Amino acid sequence: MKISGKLTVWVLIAPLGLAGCIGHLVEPDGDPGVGTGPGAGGGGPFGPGNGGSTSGGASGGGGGIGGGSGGATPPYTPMTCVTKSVGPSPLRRLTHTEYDNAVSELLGDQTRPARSFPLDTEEGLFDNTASAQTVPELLADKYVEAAAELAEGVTNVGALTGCDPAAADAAGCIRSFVSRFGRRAYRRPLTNEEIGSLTALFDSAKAQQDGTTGVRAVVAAVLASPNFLFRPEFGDGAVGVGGATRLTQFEVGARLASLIWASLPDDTLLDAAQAGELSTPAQIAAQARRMLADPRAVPAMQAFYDQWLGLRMLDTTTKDASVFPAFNDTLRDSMREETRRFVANVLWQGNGSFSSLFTANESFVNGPLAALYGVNGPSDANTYAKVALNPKERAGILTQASMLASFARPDESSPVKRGKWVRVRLLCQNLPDPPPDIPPLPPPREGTSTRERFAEHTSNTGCSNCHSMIDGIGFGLEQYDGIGRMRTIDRGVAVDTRGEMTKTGEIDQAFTGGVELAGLLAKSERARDCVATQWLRYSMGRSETADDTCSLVAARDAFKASDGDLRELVIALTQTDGFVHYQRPSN
Amino acid sequence: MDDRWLLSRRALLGGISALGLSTVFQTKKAYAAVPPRFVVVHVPEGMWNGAQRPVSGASTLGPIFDPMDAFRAQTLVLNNLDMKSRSHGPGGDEHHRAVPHMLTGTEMADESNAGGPSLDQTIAQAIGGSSQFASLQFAVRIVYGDTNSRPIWSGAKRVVPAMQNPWDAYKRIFANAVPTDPVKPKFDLKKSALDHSLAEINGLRARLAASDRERLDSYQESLRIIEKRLISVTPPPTGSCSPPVLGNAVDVKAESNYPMIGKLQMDLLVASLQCGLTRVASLQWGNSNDQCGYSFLGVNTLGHDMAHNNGNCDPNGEKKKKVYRWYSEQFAYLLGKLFEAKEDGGSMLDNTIVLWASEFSESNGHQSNKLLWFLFGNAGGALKSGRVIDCGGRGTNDLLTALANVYGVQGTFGNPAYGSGPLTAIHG
Repeated sequence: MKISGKLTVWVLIAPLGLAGCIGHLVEPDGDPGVGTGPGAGGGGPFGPGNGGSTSGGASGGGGGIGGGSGGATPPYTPMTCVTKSVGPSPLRRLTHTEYDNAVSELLGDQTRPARSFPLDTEEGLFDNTASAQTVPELLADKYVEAAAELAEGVTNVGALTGCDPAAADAAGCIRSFVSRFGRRAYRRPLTNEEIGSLTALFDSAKAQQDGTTGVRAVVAAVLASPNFLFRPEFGDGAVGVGGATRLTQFEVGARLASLIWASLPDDTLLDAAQAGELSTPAQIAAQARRMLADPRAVPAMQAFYDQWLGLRMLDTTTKDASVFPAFNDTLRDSMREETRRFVANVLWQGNGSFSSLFTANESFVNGPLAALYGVNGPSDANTYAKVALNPKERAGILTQASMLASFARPDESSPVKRGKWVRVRLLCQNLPDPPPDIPPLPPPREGTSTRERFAEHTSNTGCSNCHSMIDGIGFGLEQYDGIGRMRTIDRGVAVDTRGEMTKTGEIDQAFTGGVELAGLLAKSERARDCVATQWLRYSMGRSETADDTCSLVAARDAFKASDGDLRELVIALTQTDGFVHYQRPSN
Repeated sequence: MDDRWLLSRRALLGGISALGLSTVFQTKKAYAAVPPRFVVVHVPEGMWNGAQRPVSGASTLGPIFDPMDAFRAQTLVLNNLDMKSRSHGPGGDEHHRAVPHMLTGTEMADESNAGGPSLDQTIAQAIGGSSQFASLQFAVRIVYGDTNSRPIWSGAKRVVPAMQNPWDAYKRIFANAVPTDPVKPKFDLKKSALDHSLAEINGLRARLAASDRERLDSYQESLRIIEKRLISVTPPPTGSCSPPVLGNAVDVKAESNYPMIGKLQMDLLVASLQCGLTRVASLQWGNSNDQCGYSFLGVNTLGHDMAHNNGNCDPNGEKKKKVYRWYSEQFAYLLGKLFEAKEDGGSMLDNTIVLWASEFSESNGHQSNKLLWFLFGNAGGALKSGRVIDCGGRGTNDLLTALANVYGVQGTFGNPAYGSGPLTAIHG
């Protein structure tokens, strides 16, 4: 059994079971592929930090979240690559974001029809888990309906096709339109058979109605096609690393477009593939760099950061209006916008460094946020200005209102939610599920701080073994209330912001306040390696396996060598064996 | 205008070409017999310690469930069921496991997927075939797409998502019932795109690894169902039937609209049954790990926080009680709609079984034993209602099996390892 990487929005008062924390903290690094869960045993927790030794060929280890009471955490030792191998390449379906981007590319459609598609299954942090990408009837209904509606929406068929479809001699022109349009949508040249069947469809629709309808029939057929909606890969047949086969160059282009644009390849990429110029690592890197510099990369990168950081949790965050009257839809939207602008600024205007995600105290505020942060800024909600926040109070994403408000309770902060957010998303240290039968948290009362109540709760119940790992982090963020405002007093008690980082084998130490915690994360190798792991998961649409070790190590090494440049991490991924190979999934 | 049933020109034309005009009207006859229906409603998070359950012989369903007292005679209270499969097999925490286990009665196939069909889908296979839709799924404000929100499965790894938007749902369900353009286009883009896709799937599937082919096959199967629907004629209704009036569209994700969306979904659900468009339907209120704060009740506490933390945000269970009582009121509304739908001398409620299922019993511990579930209605006399049954810790699979049997699905439902035969006590 494998515990997913998902941060469930656990309640978070939930004390974690003693047994769970002593025996089975899950350490993905230490246990690639197999995973452990409560009661399953195995995997990194206690051992000498070498959980990575598996048949897949990794060694070195994750350095588990080791030790129960008394055991020192072994130093964090990054995995190393021993024998090259490539993990499975499951069939991918367009995510809803990719669908919207793709129809925008193909037709200029800006209506984003996939917003009305049924939610995709999300396990782990990301919405692109390949194994869950079925097409249930409701989604198929939407695909067919959207295909027809988008085709109906093509009013200027001349502009789209470069043809006069009504002309008696349109056939040759239509054939070239079909080839061109089909190549974009299928991300590869169409076979003669495919071209034949689509032109036959044009002829038939034209005969029954008119030339415009003929073009629309082609568009609708392409948009409902499994070759558009899915991204089938077969490789070029030549034997590559670890029994896998190299991808064809068109397949490489399709992966690049999905990774960097969340969309389809453009003609430049397709032309490069067609010319045999998407083959060497340098050629692939050059295209990846071009694509990263393109505006299409901005929302696509944002999609990763939204999901990794959990920004989407804000959409459904609810606050008790009697406690937080300032929290409304405008403030919620402002918080989301701030973090997006902040990340975009780091990636596109700043130095792109991992550490600046946690250290930059410049951010983007509008009127409501300026009030929340207590800084001078625009007076209205629609204008954002780049401002310097108090460096003693704020440092990067960890201390932004979006995160602090999402990972909190409706009526107060939550050291548990915030601590778990850091452990799971930033350190890739998964936690066992809380046991059933959790005793209730003591009721709030004046004169007792949130921290004191949580501490009382976990110390009394034998849950402290696990919770020290979570709460120790979250307690250090107690100077921020449930919507991320600074506070010095909590229910009549002076806020205590002493926290403790433990069981990282690396940055274990006492700290005070969010800014210090952010500083620890900024210099953490484990946290930096974790971003690479999250990117790998996102890029492959699955959890990592032992066979991904060498690719992951390569990406991490390049990321490290670039001084933690988040843009270089994306380039580095494209240079791994895993990215350019097709490993047929076992049945 | 006669709004009882609007058979579109498109449907008529399709029907004429596919079946011949006389067949269209013959179909009406075939639907004269009142079919049994099945509805399952998921209420998230279960109850709380000390919640007062209905007791045998009382004149009321008690302080939480009494909004449904008007339907006491049609209510069968099932106390003390145990979702025995839940502690077996893969899957994440209790929320992630309990929901996909709840109606499938078997281990999950993997972390993201249930391991078999849910009861409603099995029943739909048995009784839904001649309807326009074998089944319809409605939901109110699902905030995550994880297994917390996935009770309905057509098979292992085959999730059946629910419609969250009543306006979208209306369009989908009643598309053939609402007059479309007076002049039907000569060329059907949907149909041709669909045929083209099916042909391409055929070319592709043989080349894929088996585990990948499963997902392509799901598209193929879905397209075939849609194809059938595109060419079929909507059967005329048996009783009075009109699509509900929805009013202007609102934000379906906004918590403040939760009651309104719920009501519209119930209206659509009942109308779909009433119009003979389906015989099997489900309704999900939110998802497990309930992220509704029930602000419209003045509760302002997330369902999930409330579930865990009576001591802090809900010291005496008062909020939770308010919420559960509100859900009882929603059932009363749903049952009322079914009761008001008269057919063949009785009501549609007489010919329907509505199952109230929750994934937990006592919510703080996330326990799936001692479950309190309800059956309403009768499906033509299959149940002996108006009682409280103590199931004595029998498996939910035994109930699911008994219900499957009612609808003509023989044998054991779910994984037999977690059952001990049908719960025949429901029949009296």
